[in-house]
Amino acid sequence: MLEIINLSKSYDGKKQACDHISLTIEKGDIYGFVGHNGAGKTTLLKAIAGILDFDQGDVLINGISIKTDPLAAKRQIAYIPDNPDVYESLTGIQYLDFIADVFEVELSLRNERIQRYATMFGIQDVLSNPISSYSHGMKQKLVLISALIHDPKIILLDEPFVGLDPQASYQVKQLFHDMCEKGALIFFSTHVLEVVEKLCNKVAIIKQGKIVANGETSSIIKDQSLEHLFMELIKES
Amino acid sequence: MITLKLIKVFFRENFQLSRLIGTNVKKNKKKAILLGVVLLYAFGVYLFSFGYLFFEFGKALKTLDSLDVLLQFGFMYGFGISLIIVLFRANGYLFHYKDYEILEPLPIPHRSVIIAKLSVMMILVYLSLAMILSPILFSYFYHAGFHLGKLLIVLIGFLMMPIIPLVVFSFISLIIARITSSFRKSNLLNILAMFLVFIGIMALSLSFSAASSGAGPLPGQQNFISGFASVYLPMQWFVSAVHDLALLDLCWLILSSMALLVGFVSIIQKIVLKTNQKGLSVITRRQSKIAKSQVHSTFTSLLMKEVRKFVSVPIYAVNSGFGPLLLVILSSLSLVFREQIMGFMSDTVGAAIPLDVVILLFVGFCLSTVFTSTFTLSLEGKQFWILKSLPIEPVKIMNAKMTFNILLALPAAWLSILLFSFSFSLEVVQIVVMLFVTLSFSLLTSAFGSVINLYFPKFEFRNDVEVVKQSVGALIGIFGGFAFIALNGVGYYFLNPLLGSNLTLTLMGILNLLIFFGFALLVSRLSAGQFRKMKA
Repeated sequence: MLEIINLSKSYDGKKQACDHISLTIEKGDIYGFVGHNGAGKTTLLKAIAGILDFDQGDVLINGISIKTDPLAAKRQIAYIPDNPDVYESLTGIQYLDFIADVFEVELSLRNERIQRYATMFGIQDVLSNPISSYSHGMKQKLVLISALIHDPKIILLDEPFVGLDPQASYQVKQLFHDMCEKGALIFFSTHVLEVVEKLCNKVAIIKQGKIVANGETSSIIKDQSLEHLFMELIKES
Repeated sequence: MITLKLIKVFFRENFQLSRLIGTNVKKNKKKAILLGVVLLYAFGVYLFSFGYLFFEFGKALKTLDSLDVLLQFGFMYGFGISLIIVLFRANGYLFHYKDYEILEPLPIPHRSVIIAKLSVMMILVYLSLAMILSPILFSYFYHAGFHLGKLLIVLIGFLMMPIIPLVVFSFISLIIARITSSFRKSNLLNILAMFLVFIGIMALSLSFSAASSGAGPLPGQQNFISGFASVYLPMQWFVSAVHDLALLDLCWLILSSMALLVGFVSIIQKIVLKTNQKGLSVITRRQSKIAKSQVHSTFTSLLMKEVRKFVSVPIYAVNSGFGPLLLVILSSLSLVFREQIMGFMSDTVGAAIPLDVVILLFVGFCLSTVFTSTFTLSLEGKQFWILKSLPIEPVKIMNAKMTFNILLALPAAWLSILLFSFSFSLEVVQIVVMLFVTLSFSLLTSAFGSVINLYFPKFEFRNDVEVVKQSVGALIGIFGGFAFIALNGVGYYFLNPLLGSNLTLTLMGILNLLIFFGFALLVSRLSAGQFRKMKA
């Protein structure tokens, strides 16, 4: 379970990028996180992943605080940023090995997972090439594989569908479902409201650092579209 | 007008204070004070070494009525600095600039972009030249007497000085990049080519100065510089224009340089367009070869990542690999050219010092040029999110970076000590002591570098050069290394008469180790906290 408890973060000490945010994401949830540009989505995701320190509150990863025991918490999560900036001096396989080494994934298991996901995303033939020769989409796929290599129970993704081809997008969605059925939870930000409507069982809407709506997707949007609801919430001051 | 606007934007991008030092000075007063102290120290070291050397050299030349030699030195150094900067930077500034995709769709004439890019690169060249040449020119005007006309000619000559190296070495840099890019291991070849150029220049300089070994570093270089002056007309024009107020020679200098510059700008327009367009195309070869996984410990994996980064960034490899390479080459050569190598080392570190100390000082000097731990954390740049999101203790990351610095420098240093010791028939005890001192010094400078990088990270950069050569961490790294050599030197100076050489050196080694432990402790205590503060 992922618990965000009263989390606040300010970059300049004045404006709150995240303002007393509390959310609970449970096992099996595919939780969509929407908001306008600069609303605080990436800040929150980075704070949960332990990349960004925050001023107040806590994040518990299956009961472990990212503040007090970051290593134990990070062992259970995978984070995928919005921009796949990875080590361009490495080859694809070297990067995957690096991540697998950190998570101490044994050889047979990592081989099996790399084979499975690389084939699924169609990049098995370029894994020995330097990452510098990859396209944006290929890098995105590589980062996705690296996130899945240790079979995480909590997956955080920032705009995961940007740069992916339609086939890969479909496969990622299928993968989300499969993983959640096995007890993982997924928390991701997106601007594509249709994806949230179709894929997520829960949704949170953030506006100027504050959560303005959250809960079961069906109960949040009721009989209107998420786009309509989103526009209304954004308009309200 | 648009060219000026572009220059303004590029200048801000390249030379903005917060970008250069990686921190906002106004917001971080502690860092600002520390930085001020470091810059003052660096300036002091520079003035009291380089400045004093040329002041004394000027004094000696005055008695021989040969003050024009100072101008030859100035021009030669200017040429050398321009060569190095252009060789390393022309590719990034002109042929593969990172903002090509931003600029190309805009309705800006190519000529304006090129002129603006060139101008910004030249600003970097001129700033470096001003720093190097001011002590030489001060010495010249002090000893020759101030003359306004001469000063004006010097200023004009100063502007013309780097133009020919700019034109010639821009093309050489492009040719190296073009040739090596067609190979699979293009980066390694690029690094090799850069090393060959530098070693070639050094070997040439050494072969000239060998003829007058033992006469100090500057007279040693004089033959080389005079030889260069005899074939390079712009240098002759500059020297006679300033020293003899020969205005015709000044005209020749201006005309030749400006003609070349105008020709260069018009010729390279198409080349720049082509190289930048080619840089955009991503060629992904599909291979039938199956990628194989290998299991390593986290620490080994981190270390391997450092090695791969090192060999993939030419500027990084050349900058940090030159010291160890120089050690291996010179110590190997000492087996054959014993006297010449000894002369070169004495010239570099100072004559009239015991043999083992000369070797140690030289090895220490080369070790000080390996300061990767002062900037490798910064080099993570936009990829820092990876390390921050992974379950790795920050201290382990820092230790891997520190270990890489040691592994890069120490084996070469030890090998060179063994070879030098064999060449100069040193005693076993001396050799053991030298190995110990070298080990302690390498540990000390590596740990010091890690502390520096924790305090002065610089994650915002467009080009690796900004971190490897121009960051505050790198600056403190190199001058810090020299400061530790000085500390050992002072200790040796006072203790040697009382305790003898071997015991004194051992004590210096122990002192280095103690300071190393202090720094290592600081790294282990600071890492987690500093990592939390760093933005990714």
